Amino acid sequence: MILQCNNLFKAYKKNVFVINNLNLTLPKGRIIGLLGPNGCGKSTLIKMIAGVLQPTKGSILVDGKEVGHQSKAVVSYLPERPYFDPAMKVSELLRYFEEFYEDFDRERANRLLRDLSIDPEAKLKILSKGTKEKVQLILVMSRKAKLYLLDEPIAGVDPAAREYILSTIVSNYDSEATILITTHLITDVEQVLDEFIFFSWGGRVLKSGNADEERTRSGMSLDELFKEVYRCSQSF
Amino acid sequence: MFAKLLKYDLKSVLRYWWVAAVSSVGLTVLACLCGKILAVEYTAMELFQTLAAIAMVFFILGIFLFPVLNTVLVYMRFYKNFFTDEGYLTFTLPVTTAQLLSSKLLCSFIFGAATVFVLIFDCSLAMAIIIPEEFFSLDNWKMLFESFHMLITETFGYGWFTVFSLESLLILIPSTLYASLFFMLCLTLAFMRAKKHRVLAAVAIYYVINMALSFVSSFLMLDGTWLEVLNRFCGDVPDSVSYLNLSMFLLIAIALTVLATAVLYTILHRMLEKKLNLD
Repeated sequence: MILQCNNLFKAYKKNVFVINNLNLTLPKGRIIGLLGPNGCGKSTLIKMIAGVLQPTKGSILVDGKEVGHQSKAVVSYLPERPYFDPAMKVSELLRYFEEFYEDFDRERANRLLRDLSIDPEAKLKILSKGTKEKVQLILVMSRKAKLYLLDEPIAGVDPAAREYILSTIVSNYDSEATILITTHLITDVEQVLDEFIFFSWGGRVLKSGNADEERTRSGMSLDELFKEVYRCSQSF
Repeated sequence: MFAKLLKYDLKSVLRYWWVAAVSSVGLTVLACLCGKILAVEYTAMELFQTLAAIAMVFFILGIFLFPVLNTVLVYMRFYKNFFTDEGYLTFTLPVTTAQLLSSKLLCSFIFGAATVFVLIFDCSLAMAIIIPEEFFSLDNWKMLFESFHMLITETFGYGWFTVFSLESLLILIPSTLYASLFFMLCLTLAFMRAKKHRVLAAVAIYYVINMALSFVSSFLMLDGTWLEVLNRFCGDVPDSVSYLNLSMFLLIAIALTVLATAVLYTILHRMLEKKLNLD
């Protein structure tokens, strides 16, 4: 197991729980979609695993370690927003990642930048929003991490870029590593997923399982299945 | 990892700090030149007033705004790096909270010291421009040192002078760190408690806590009153006893400052590690 969440709670206000007693384990070497509507707690969960939010109660173990500097060394996190100093050049960011993350593969990053014709000497502030997001993705995927946390990696980009991002994700990760992707754009990501977790408000897991098996069994796409499962959960 | 963090903190502040430092020196030079022209060559009242106003503005910008700018730069780096979107990078680095905090603390200390050096340089430069004959005269410097020597020997002597100097230096380090930690704590509290105008909230928190602490310290007579009480209690005693009292008072002040700094550090460390939730 790469991730274990035990009796996890998160409340932003007193007694208003975004995550309510979540128990979750993720296996190694899988691409897992954390799928659900906006505001259901997907990002909150990912942020707690990354260490930028503190759980109200419960524990999170990443590769057997509690969230801290040791777990951060094996987790590669892509937030849903631009998070680099805009005054920095792309090449300075590469150096920054190389210095702080032992698992950073500079060659891979350079290759990906070349593929996308991104000038390493360009400052982030002059890049377009889409290019900035690509730079972030390149940096995050150029690490040989054990767990990748990708928070809405395709939400803000055009359909052509979505395809590129997904192919970058799939072709640049170690088979031993796990990728956890959160999104509400299920149709776009379901082609790359090995497993899925349907999330609902309160961080409730509505359904989870193997993506291919579920598609074969139900005869539905994950998107259709999610709508079905979600409708049923609402009627209770 | 600490060295790497410090390197990036120093680089980030230095990017703007050196501009402020060079401007401070430049403005001091300009202010002094205006003053110089004013002293020897003014002919009309209007020119006199204009030059005086320009010299004053340059002087204020050069000498007084530079330390303010240094403070803004250091704490802006702290705030941006921890509490804005950049925090998503800072708090996902494989480093400990202690390393993050210590790096920011040392960075603020280094730039504080550098600012003091620049201001001393500014003042020396101002004297060199305004009174060059006096400033570059070896006899004047000799006289100054002799007066200083006389002052020391006629008052508490070199032994006590060394003790007091060392104690002052010792109290300077923890009190500088305390001041930095205090403002960092206010920024952290403001980030955690306020939804809007967080920097303003931090300033408000700073003044409220400061006022409360001043009240407590004057209530406990930590502002030097104890020393007066002790001296009065000792009555007509030799100077050496008063100096001993002062030295002991300074030692206690050092111990209290170190303790307060350690407490602030622990609180801030705990808040950042256990309570921080980025937006």
